[in-house]
Amino acid sequence: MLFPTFQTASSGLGVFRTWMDAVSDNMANLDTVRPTSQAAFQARFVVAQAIGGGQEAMTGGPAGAAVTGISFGDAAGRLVHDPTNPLADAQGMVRYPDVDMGDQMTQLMIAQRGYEANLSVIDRAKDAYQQALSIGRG
Amino acid sequence: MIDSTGSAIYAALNGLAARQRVIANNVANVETPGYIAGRVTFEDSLRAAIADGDTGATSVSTVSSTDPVNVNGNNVSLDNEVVSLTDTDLRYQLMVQALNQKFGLLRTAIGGGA
Repeated sequence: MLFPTFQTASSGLGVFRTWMDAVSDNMANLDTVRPTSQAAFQARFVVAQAIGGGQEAMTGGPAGAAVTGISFGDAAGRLVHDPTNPLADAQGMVRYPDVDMGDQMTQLMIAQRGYEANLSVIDRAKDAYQQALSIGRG
Repeated sequence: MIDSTGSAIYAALNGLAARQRVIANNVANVETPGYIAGRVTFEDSLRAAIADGDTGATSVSTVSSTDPVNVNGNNVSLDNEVVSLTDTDLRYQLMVQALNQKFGLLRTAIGGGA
């Protein structure tokens, strides 16, 4: 790899962007109603892991973070009594997803800050690489 | 590389570049559960190597941070990493300037002061 820091930081950008995608999906489905005969919308959680360890980063080998999977929230959701809803069953119950807006907003903030941190690493690395390219120009 | 000054600067640039890569890795994993931050050390080794007159023997090593972990087993502190990144950047620029000065001296010598 020519500029390994860029690859590492952009892998971090990928993880946090995927996280933001998951949060926006959860938020969009905050009020998705399902009949009680079906599973509720399940919140998406991004599972991330480190690629290699510190040693790999030092030697310029593969480093950074990667999304290794998605885990899903509770399919039972929460039952709400809403007899006017066309999806309501005989008891007037419908199924709402078990997604908490406050929790999602907190996750969104963490993901956004993480994204910004990786962007600033790219910015700094660019300065350092430009300096390195100027060696010997006098 | 040319002489001991040049190779000492070269060793320092090497160590600082490694530190920058490890910091990038730490920031990329700032929210990864169970991730332990890496720390690069080369200064002590470089100092000993300069004292021995063999700067080529400088070794750059990465150790795991011993900072306390938080609830998800991660111990990356973003503010520490950013401060360390700024420090590493400035040191890197300093070393690049030192190397350029060294080359300037060589140019003067090659040109015979003309």
